[in-house]
Amino acid sequence: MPLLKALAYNLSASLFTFTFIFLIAKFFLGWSVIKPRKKDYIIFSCTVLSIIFSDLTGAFFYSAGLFKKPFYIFEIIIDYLATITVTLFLQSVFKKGILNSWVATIFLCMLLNFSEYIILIFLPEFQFHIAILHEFLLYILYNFLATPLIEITVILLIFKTEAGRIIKHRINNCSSNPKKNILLSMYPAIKYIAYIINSENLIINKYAVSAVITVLIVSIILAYMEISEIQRQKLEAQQISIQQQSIYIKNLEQMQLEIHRFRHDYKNMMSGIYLSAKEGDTKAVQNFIQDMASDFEHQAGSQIQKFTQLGNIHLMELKGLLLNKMELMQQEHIKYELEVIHPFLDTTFRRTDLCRCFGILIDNAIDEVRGKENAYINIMVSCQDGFTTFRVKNTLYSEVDFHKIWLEGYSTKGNGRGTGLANYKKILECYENVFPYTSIQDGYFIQELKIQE
Amino acid sequence: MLPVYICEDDYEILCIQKEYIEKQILINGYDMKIAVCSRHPEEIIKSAMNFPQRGIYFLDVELKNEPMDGFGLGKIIRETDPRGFIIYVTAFEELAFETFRYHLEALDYIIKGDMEKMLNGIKQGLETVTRRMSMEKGEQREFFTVKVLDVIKHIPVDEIMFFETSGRTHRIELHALNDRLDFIGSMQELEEQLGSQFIRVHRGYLVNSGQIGELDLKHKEIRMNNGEKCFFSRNARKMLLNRI
Repeated sequence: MPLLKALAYNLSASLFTFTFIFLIAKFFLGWSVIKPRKKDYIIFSCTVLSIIFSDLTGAFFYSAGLFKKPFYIFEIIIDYLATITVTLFLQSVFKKGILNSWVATIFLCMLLNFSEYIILIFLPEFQFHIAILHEFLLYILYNFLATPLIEITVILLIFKTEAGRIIKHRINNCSSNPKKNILLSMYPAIKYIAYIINSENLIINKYAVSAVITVLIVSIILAYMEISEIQRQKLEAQQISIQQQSIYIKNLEQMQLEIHRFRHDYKNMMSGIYLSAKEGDTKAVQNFIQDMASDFEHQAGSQIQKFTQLGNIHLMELKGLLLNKMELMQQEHIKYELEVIHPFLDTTFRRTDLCRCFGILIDNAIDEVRGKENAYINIMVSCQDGFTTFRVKNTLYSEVDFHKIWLEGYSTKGNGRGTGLANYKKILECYENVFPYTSIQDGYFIQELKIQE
Repeated sequence: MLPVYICEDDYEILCIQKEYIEKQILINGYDMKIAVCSRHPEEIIKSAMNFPQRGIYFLDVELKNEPMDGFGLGKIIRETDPRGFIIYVTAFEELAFETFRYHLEALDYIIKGDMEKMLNGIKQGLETVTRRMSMEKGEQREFFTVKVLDVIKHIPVDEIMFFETSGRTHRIELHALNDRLDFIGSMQELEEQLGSQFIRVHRGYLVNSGQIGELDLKHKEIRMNNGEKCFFSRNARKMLLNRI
């Protein structure tokens, strides 16, 4: 009987917590509910089942008196069960990806635990004996009134300050560094260290101490993450700018060489034309001026032009990517053009995704024309009237089975390749405002990506 | 008769262009006449607005001391004359012509540094326009026109395989022989717009009946002429068998 009772209380508490988590995710993390499909009902029912299961396990452990055993092993088990359940729940409702949901869950657990500790400071005992009336009433008060109030206050405090921004950033970029995710995933176990240290009742109010220690642990983890994140970003930006500078210098040197050569030729030509001018041969003088102008355009003008176009791109990451690809094309002796006639500042498309997508398209173009005659690639970035277009156009040599290029593992270049476009498609599926276009026109292969900003 | 517009900020070059085009029209007997030659884009716009008609436009890209450049001018012209022929004249060889072609469907670009080359470019431009015009007369091909954000795409109807709904709201994928694109629309509207040549074989598929290769009744699959596959529902089976 006590088992059933405990289960009932656990279930009602779960219902409460899940509503709470749902509200936090929706309003503070800014996640939106995705319309469910048939498959999702299965996931959702699994979630409900796992909620019941973890509640049942908790109730069983409680009634069997397994809590507060050495090293809090059973509490840790329950905590991980609960974390998994919440992750499933978030995934089934918001569909942000399992990893995102997991990291979000850990953070939400931290928040809820923290609030719990604060309220525990005012409570005499951790465990309630629900058979006793006044403890039962306290439990109700604690669970359904005081806790939510404290939780709301804490959440408001955190999300209205810098801490909220850090947390959101961490959740959204969790796939970037798996090491930190492991550290975060240890949290449910780590928090019991506070209990173990404090198990001797050395200090009068042990929950207050636990709370303080937990807060310390959490803030150390967060600070460590943020600092290393900033360092990583700084390093990346530095690397990009170093790379950029070295390519710029290389190009400048090349241009200088060309201008030097031009100057040399021009001196010779000048002395020749001087005679023609003296003899009054205007036709020859006209031709000379024309040749000189087009020669200069040919030798130095095109380089200058490319870098002026690149200068219109203000997004560091994209600039780095384009520089990289431009260098590659130069090495492969591929004729290419870059067109950015209006300054490109930013986009609503996530930067990493943009670089991945555009990188895939350019790589495919390079793969197609590499080593071929009359190889030509045109890259265009055009933004106006709130729309941004990324376009890659290349000469096409092989007969392409047009619909097959989207399948995973298909490639015109043999086995083990061709994951590019399949990946590209997968990335685009997450966006409502991005429109791809692919076409074969007059011997050119064209890939386009349009974004509604 | 196609009106020819010239916008060029250098008066001398403007005169040369005008003279040369008049000569070409006379020699080849083109059905064209020079409408406006001006150094100011506003005059071109005013005239084009007053007589909305398909025309030929030779536009200088770099217009000094004017409120807009050739790109801006082309954009305004496109509003009144979506099918006109725009040819750009520029002093710079590496101008972003793809961008011009992409947004304004510009026909060609001519470099004006070399006088001979420029005149040759004008001659070729006029030839291309005449060729296009005569080709269009003979062509009976139907096009499916769809607006994707800020550009309009034309896909030959007989090359379309099928339309497919995607998981996202109102998003439709078009599968054609040489094109694949996403756009916002509704299957029902497409069905009405395209007529009986297209069959709604499934909630998520609208198929061009002229491109159906074979039916796999066991797996409820349609193989299109290009090898691509799509599915049909039980309800559509009878209709499909009747049509083939």
